[in-house]
Amino acid sequence: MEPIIAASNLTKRFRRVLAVDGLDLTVERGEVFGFLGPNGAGKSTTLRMMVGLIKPSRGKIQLFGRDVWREHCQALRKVGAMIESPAFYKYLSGRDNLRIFYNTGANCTVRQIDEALDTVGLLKRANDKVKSYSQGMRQRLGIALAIIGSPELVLLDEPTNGLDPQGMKEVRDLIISLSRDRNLTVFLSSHLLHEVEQICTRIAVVNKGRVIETGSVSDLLKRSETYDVHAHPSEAAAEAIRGIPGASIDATLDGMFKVKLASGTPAELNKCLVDKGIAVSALIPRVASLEELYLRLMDEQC
Amino acid sequence: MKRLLLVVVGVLLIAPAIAGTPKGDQILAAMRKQFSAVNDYRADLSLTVKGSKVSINNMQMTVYYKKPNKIHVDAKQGVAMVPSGNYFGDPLGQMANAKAAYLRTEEKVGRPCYVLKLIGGQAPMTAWVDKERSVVVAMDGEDGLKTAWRYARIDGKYYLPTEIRADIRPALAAGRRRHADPDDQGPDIGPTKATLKFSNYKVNKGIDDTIFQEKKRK
Amino acid sequence: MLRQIRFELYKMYRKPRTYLGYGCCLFINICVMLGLRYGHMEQISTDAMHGSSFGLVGSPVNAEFMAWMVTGSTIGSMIMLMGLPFYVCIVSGEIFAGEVAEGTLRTVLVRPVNRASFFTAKFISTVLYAATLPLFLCVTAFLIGLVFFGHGGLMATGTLEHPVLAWYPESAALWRLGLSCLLIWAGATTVGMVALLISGWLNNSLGALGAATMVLFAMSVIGAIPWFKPISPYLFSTHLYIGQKAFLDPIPWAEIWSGLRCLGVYSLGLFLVALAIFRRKDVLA
Repeated sequence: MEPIIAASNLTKRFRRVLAVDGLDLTVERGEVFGFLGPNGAGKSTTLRMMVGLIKPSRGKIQLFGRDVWREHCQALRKVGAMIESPAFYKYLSGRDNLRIFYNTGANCTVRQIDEALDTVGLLKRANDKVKSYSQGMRQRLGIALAIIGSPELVLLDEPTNGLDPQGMKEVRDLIISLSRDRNLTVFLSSHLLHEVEQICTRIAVVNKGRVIETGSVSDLLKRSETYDVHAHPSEAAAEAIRGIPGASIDATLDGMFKVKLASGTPAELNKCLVDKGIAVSALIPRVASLEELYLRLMDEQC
Repeated sequence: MKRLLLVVVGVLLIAPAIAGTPKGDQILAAMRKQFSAVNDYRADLSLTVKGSKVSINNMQMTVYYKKPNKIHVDAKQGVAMVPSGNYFGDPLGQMANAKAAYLRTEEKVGRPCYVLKLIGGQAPMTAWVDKERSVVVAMDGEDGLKTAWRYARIDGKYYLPTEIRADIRPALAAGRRRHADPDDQGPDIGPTKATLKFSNYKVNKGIDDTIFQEKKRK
Repeated sequence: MLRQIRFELYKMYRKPRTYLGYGCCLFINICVMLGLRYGHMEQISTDAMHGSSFGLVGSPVNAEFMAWMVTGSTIGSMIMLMGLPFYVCIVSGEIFAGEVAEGTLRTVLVRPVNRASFFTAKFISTVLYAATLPLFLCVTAFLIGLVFFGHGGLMATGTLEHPVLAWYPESAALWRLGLSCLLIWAGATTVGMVALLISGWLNNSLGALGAATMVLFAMSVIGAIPWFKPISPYLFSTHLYIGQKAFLDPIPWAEIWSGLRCLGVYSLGLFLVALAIFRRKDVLA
């Protein structure tokens, strides 16, 4: 089955600034895909190219097999998007905004609008002018716009921006339920690594306009798994660990070694140490967080 | 004998001619008599003027006349532009105090007419007067104004104009004015043709003098 | 497309600044009415007729006259140069740049909407707004004149190029006023297109308004300089006053068609350039 999002050699140059440099990316149906990177990495530019706001300098971006720039309407027919802070007509009500924006390019019923508003918890304030909305309410209105009409792909740029912790949790739960219940594909750009770790099934990390790491969250974290090993004597333990194929020491602190196993199992590590007469007092698996992975990747880039 | 015969023949030949040649004053008197039966009239007037500097399209007004020379115009559509000149009332008005000299008889607008030369009135002009009806059918003034008149018999008695066509040639007029007075800077409205159509005459029905009093402007 | 136009008009008429132009038209009409009512127009008219082989009876001041004053007279030409186009530019300069500034352009363009039809809907909305202004000006002048002065035929003067004193019966006056509104619409649309183009290029509504006004003034000045006379027929500012030609007799259709052609070429050309810029534009705001 063809990927829902396919970016191939995607490049964007703004005069002397190369914002996106040969980016390759695919997103499959049903995934909740996280797009991570520092400020200025090219996330927003990539997202804008995905929805046709910016024309690629080179390469192409396809949604549902359609080139976004050449077949804009067909490509975005089943897509809902919220790019950066959602902007609405302040002098119109929330409901009117949804009606006008959604009906530009498609048709929706009053019931569908109400459903979307209800989903994001704005039904009671639907007839109030947007200028009376808080930042969080506008954010939710943007999400409502993105999910009206049962799209198959939703692109969200910082969806929890401006929300309180309760609101953040609600949005996270919403995204998970949309993905699970409606088999929605979600492409999510966020700075909140903890949030991405909870929601996303697959991620890409981008820096300086290029993808530097991509994969499922579980695989990436597993690859980053380490073991805290308490063993003595320390010197002998260190020497023994270094002698094990596939094992490396990330850090050492007071007889505790942070060991990374590229191959082999912790049981084999333990047996190896014990066979060499080294006393192992503790062998604790430590799963890395996404933040640790991310920071490590950024360090490697420097 | 022969000489006497020649004199008699000559007198016989000339006499009819001398006896049939009208005098200008007599023609004017006949015109005055023709109009004398009209004490007052009211008529609808439609004015159309076409020129390079003016364009009036079918302007409707009502004209009131009462002897000897009272004229009043009412605008039917808010405003009326009344052409200067003797278009209403006594057609002899502009010929008053003029000396008329009979020139010849000729046909004009299908009518046998006396041709008069008028000097001393408002401006020297040539006038064609219908022999039978004693009404002026055309005028050609040296002030640049040429007019042609059509008539109808109103109430079976009065010959009154139904249409007057005026041809204003201001260059001619301006030239003559400036010849008389080099400082004359009179307006230049360009060559202009005006048509006045009279209808719905009500003759000798009585008109109150108050109509002719000028109303104060608000 | 119809739905998009409806949305654009809905958004346009929800903004208070859209009503500035109508307010100005109303204000002008009230001033004109006061001037006609208390300004002894009958005496002025009579004096103007002096020595012209005609005398004046009655008053030319009526609803038709008042409507002509604001569309076909010298006052009308001032309104056409400084008034109507300015208010059209307020709307046309803002209709695009305003969306960019607010960020709503971004929100719209992530929808499956064709950029060309989206922009064309804005163009058509601007054109429709430009039509309502001279119509509002003329109709309110007529109605106010009807209340205070009644109705009748129209006495009008011509233009500087064709000075003429004309009078038309009421029926002819009404269709000439309608024609004048149509012609004024053409001129106002062209100026509005200048603002639309500049707003699409600069993404700034105030800049678009200022630049469009400046272009209009510059063209008017250039057209008035004798040395530039050969190009004067090709400047759109030269044809902004074709509304006055509706009151000449006979109507100089050849001149009007020539003027409309020039304005049409400018309007279409400006629209196409603006559209081309917009279609390739990166939306960064």
